[in-house]
Amino acid sequence: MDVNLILNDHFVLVQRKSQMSLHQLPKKEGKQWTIKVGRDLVDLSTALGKPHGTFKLSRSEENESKAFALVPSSDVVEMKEKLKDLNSGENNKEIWDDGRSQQLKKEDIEELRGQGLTGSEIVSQLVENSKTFQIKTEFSQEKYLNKKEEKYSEWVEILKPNIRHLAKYFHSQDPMQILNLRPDTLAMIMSLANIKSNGKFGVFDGGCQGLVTAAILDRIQGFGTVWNLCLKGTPQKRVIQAMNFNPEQLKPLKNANLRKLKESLIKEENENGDEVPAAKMIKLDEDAPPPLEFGSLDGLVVVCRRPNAIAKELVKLLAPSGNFVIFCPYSEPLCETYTDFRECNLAVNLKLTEAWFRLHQVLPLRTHPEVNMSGSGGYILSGIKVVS
Amino acid sequence: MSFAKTKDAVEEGDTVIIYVNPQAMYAIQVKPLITTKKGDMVENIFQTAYGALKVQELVGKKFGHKVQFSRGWGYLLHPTPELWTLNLLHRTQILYTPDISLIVMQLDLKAGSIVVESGTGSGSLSHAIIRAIAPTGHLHTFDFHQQRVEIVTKEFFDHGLEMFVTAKQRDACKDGFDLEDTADAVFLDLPNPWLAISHAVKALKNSGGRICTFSPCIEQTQKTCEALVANGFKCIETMECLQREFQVKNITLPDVDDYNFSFSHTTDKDCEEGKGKKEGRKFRALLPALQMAGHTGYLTFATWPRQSNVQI
Repeated sequence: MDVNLILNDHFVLVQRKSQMSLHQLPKKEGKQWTIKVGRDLVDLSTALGKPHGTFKLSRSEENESKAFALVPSSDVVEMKEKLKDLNSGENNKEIWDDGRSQQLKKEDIEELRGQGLTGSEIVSQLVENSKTFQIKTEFSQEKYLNKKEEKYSEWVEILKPNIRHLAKYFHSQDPMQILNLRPDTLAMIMSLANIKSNGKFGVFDGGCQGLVTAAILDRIQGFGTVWNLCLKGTPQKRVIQAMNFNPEQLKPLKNANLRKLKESLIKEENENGDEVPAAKMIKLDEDAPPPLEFGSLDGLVVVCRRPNAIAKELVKLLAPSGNFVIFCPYSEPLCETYTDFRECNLAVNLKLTEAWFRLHQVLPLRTHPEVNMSGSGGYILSGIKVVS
Repeated sequence: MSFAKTKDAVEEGDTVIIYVNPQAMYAIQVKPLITTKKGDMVENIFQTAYGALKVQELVGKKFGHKVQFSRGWGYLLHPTPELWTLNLLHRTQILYTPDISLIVMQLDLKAGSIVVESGTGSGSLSHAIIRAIAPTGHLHTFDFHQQRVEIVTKEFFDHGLEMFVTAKQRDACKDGFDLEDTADAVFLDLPNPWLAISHAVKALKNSGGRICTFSPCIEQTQKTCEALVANGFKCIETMECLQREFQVKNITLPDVDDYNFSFSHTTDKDCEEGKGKKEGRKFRALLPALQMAGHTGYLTFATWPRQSNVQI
C-alpha cells in the first residue's frame, strides 16, 4: 500500500541539515523541475522514480544546466571528517573579532560557486583562507563546520511526507499559519480525542490547514469515518494533500457543511413520523458513510481562534461519553468555554492544559537543553460529554 | 470487552469507568459475582464514597449517563486508554498521557504498525499503542517479570484486545526479542536500554523503522545515544514534555486588596471613589497548578534507515 518511490505529482520534503522545504513534483514526466535548496538550484525531476532517501547534489557533464542533479547516495561524508587532520587550538585567547579572519570576500565566494565548485570544496577554501580556523578549539571548529554545512552540504534527504515531518515543518515555517499547533500538542489531541480505527470522528478546522484531519486519516488508514465540518466553502486541505494519501486512505473523509446539516437535521425532527428518515435510509447503502446526527460522533476536535459558540453547538453531535478536544492558540476563549461547559453540566473530566516541550543536545560531556525552545504550543480544553 | 469497539450501552464482561469526581474515578469490570479474599463467591457490590453500587445492574445502562449509588450518583463512562492510565492498578511506575501521546506520534504509529515494547510494566502505554495500531497491526510486549506478564495478559483479554497483542516473559537485554525483520517501531523502557539496542536492530524491519527509549536520568540517555549512533541509527533526537494544567477561577478580591490610588487625582476622596464596589474587584483567572509533575523522563527517538539489501 505504501509507495516508497518519488513519483510525479507527489509531494516530497527536501531536507538539508536542519532546513526543510515542501515541494510537489511535476504532474507530467519529462519536465525539468528546478527548486531552491538554500542558495543552490536543484533539479528535483532528476530524483523521479527513485526511492526516498539520501541524494548527492551533482554536476552532470552533458547537462549545461545551472541546477544540480540528484544522485542517490549512501556514503555521506561530513565535513568534519574531511578536515579532521587539521590543527586546533587550546582556547580562544588569541582570537580577536576584527572581522578580518576570513580572507575571501563575498564576491570571491560567489565566484567559486559560479565555477561549479562543490559545497565541500568551497568550505575547504573558506577554511584555508581563514586566519583563525587552525587556532580555534576542536569544539569551535566543529560548530563552525556544522554551520557551514547548513549552507554548503552536498547531501540532501528527500523524505516521504508523514505527519511527524509535516507537523514539524509547518510549525517551523510560520507557527501561526497553523494556529501555533505544535507537534506535541497535536499528539495530545490525537490521544484525548480517542482517535482510533472504526470510529466516527468530527473535525472543525478553523485554521490549521487540515493538519488534524490529515493526522486522523493517517492514524486510521481507511478504517472509520472522519467528518470534516465547515461553515462555508470547503475545509482547509493543504496538509491532507501533502500526505499523498491514496483513495483507500482518503475514503473515510467526508465533508459536511454545517448549515446544510442543520437544515436536514431540523427537517428530520419535524417529520418525526412513522416513516424512516432519509438520513437513516442511506445507512443501508454499503458505501455511504454512517449518517451524521446529533449524538453520533465518537470523538470531536475543534481547532479555531474563537471556539466559544461553535464548540458548544458541535458537542451536540457527540455521543454521550464521547471525547472532545478544543484547541485554541489563546487561553482566554477557552477559559470562557470552560466556564460555559461547567455551568451547563455538559462534560466531565474537563481540563484546560498547555503542553511544555523542549529538545536536548546529547553529546559526550556536552549534554544540555537546546538553547532555543518554543514558548507556547497552544491551549487545549478536553473533556468527556455526559448527559445530566 | 469495551476497549476494542465503541458501544452505547454496557454488556456483561465490559470494563467501565465510574466517574464520581476528578479525584474519584474507578475502573470496574461488570460481572455478577466476585471472589472474596477468603475465596467465596459473593454478589459484586462496589463501594464508592457515595455508597454502594450493584455492579450487575450496570448491564444495559447507557454510557455517558448517570448511575445511582445508595447515597449519591456518578457517571458511567466508556473506557479509553487515557482513563485506563488514570485508573489502572500500579504494578510499576507508569507512563502518562503526555509522554504516551508523543511516543505514539513520534514512532509514526498507525493502523497496521507492528510494534515491540519492553518492558510491559503495568500496561499503560500498551493500551494506547494497541488503540493506534488496531485492527491490522500487532503489539509484541515483553517484561522480565512473570507475574506482570500474567496480569497484563488477563487484562488484555478482559478488555477484548487479545488479538492485537502478544505478551511474553523475556529479559530483552539478555535474550533479545526473538523477532527478526518484523517491527515498524521499538519502544524501550528499561533501566539499561543501551543493552537492548542491538536486539532492537534485529527486530526492526530491514526496510526501516523507528525506535524510542524512555529514561528518567540523563546519564542513561547519554549511553543510549552513544549506542544508537554505534548501531547505525539516524536522526537521533532527545526531548521531554510536560503538561501544565490550569484551574479556571472566578476571583473576587477582598476590599483590602483594592488599591485605588492615582497621582493625577486631586483629593483623596477622588481616589476613594469606586472603592467598596464589588464589580471592580471581580475577574476570571487562569491559575496554573501550584504543584505539577516537573520531570518524567527523557524520550530519545531515532530512525532505523532502510538497509541497502532491501529492494524496492
